[in-house]
Amino acid sequence: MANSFSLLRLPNDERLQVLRCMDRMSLLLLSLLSRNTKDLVRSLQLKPSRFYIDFYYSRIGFWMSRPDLYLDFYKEPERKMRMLKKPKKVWISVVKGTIFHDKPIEMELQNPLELKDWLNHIHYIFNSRQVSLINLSEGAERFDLKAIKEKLGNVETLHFNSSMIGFPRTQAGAILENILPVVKQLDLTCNPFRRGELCLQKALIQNTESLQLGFYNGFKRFTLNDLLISNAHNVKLGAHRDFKWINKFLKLWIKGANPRLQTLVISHGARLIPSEIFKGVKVSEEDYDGFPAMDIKRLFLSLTSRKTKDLVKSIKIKPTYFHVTVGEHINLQLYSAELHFYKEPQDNMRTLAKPTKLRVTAWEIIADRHQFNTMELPNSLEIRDWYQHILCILNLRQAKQIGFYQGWERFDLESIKKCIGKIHTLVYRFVTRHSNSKDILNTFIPDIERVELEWNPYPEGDTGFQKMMIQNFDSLDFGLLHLFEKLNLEDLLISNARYVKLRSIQKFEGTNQFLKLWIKGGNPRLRKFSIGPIFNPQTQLNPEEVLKGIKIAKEHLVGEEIVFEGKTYGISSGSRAVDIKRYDGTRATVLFRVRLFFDFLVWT
Amino acid sequence: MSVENAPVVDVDEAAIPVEKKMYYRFESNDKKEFRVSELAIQQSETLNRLVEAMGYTSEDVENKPAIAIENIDGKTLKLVFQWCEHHKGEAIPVDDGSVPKIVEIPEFDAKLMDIDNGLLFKLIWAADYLNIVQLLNVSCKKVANMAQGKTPAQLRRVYLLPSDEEDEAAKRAAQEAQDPRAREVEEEFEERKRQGGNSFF
Repeated sequence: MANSFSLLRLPNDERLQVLRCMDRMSLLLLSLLSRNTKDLVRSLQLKPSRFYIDFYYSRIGFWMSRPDLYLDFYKEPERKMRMLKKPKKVWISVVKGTIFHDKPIEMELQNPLELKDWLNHIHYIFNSRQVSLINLSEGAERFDLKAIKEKLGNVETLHFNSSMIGFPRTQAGAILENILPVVKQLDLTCNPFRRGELCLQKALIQNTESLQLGFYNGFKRFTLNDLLISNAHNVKLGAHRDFKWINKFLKLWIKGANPRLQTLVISHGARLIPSEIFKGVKVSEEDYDGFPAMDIKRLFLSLTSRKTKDLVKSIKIKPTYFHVTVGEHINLQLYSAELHFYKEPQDNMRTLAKPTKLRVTAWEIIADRHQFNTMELPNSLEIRDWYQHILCILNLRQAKQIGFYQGWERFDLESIKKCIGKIHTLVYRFVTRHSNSKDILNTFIPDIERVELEWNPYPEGDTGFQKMMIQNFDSLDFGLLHLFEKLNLEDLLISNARYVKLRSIQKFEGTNQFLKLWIKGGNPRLRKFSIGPIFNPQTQLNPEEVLKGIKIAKEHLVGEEIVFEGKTYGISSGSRAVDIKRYDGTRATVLFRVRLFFDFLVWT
Repeated sequence: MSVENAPVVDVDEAAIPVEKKMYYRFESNDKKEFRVSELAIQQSETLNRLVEAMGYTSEDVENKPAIAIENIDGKTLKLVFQWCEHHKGEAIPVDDGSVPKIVEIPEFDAKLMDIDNGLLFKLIWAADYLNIVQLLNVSCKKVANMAQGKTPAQLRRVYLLPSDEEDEAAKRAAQEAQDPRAREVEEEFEERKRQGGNSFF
């Protein structure tokens, strides 16, 4: 046969190579042809990251992510579909790596298998054991629950879209009664039951692993008693109401209630007041992590004597926040307190002469409200002494960052530098270009690792910006409010920073050329280059243009997650991620997140 | 462009660049000889190791007999070396095990592989035998592309895939061919079973 190729005559390795190059739909169809081809596809060891079954709009969908493969049944209504009788047709579709490609490819076929056989077939060829989720949505009531349970067997999660309009409540109870025993996790979008009905309580006492109840839209009529009878390991609750009973729950938990419970998460919609939640509950210092760590009382205590200073130091306060800001006056900012110097102008303040007065602003939570207190005190310490004192009690070597704001020019830069010494981050935040701004950079750049610039302080033609770019910074962050201009390809190419972030209204031209030069060895120190968010469609980057002429080593699929230096980048529909390789084999991922963000991640 | 019109691999002396590069001589199983540059050979892990082990000098290459490649015919080898010459100096891709494997077929490769499926079969086999990773990738991709948009019935025809029944029939035929008495023994066994015997012996 002229147009035929004897696939099975190829040696095993080459045959598998051919299969590995096939798209997912071809693989699925191939697996249906014989036991031999079914085993061949299985031998590829494909395993979908998720396999879920969707009951929606009177049809049933089998969805697999990674590979993204969808099977639809009963798209055209059939007489015996209620009992899940063998569907006449099946619609198979695949989504290519990103929506930037063509539409999903769909094929309509005469259906060869019963639903249960499809399920077994998919489990077999994709080496999966269980359906990860059943989603019951509008139209699910048209299918018989016992038939669903019988045909689908055990599943991991039941997602029951109980908030959908017109879903009969009686059906909701039946769903929980029939399907819940075979699932590990239950996700209810809202409480479908009236007060007094025991359906929910019957579900709660099941030994499920996780319960998610109205996490996004709230879950009404849920009480402390409901939580106490729950046997789940993990409970997530949505709320738009007070949870006054949490305090009581904590006290009961201390006494032994809910022994199986491992985590209880309540969504941000709830109005949770720490002082009420912990009332009468013994809490350790660590439990207050995240609350004001360095409060003003501790700071004042540390000033009274050397002993009290050591005492405060010894409690090892977590230094969550210590910044220096220079504007119309100088501030030392702590998490819950701020020390202001030169609120009122004085002589020699330019060279940071000892301030005569100190203004302190502190806040604390009293009766669930932030209360701000301001006091003005006579000052006996130099700013440098204050700075050193705070570093000492916080066990720090330097403040995290110094920020320059409008009015900074009334202070002498050298005096500031002498006062605070080395610092990690320099923030330069102005809404307009300032003629002396570059002096700040010139003064501090040799000692800093990270620069955040809202505005490019160098006028056009000034080479200062290029001189700054070639410094060995750890990180450069440009355009905090999308105002940064004039970062061009040449600037980026000479940059020695490991992380470069650009948030600009201006389109960064030359991304394609940048990638090509990187492949040839450009920017060897660079670990990450990000652009975005890019809200203006005119300045958004087109993946096809950016990747034009670049050899792609790997195309990531929609649904994949890329974890880079602890941060997870999900590839959602509308995003695209590809891997490219430098001449020396170093791999980098080029990621377009819904055109709003461009990320270039270098793997070392 | 058909194979006949594709650039010829055999290189005459005048075409050899001024700086003396080594050109090895290879001979197919149907006695066709090819001259291939040292850089092009690097695309084939098998041949690269072979010439390294031989340690030929430029004189050896001219004076000694061409290196015989017994398993590949001239027509296939010509395609292989054309591909190697075109892609010489390119990095050899590393397989990351991903499925589906992302392989793009460049224009040159597409034209080179504009051949009948019999020759494509031999080309895949040769790429694997000579361990030319990227040629194997593109040739397998070409075969994989034949499946695109095909229904199960069309797939069966394209790849000549037998059904389970045909597989079993072929298996039986193979067994019979191997042992002429097998069928007789099987029939005798069936007959005894019908008569109520529990055991063949």
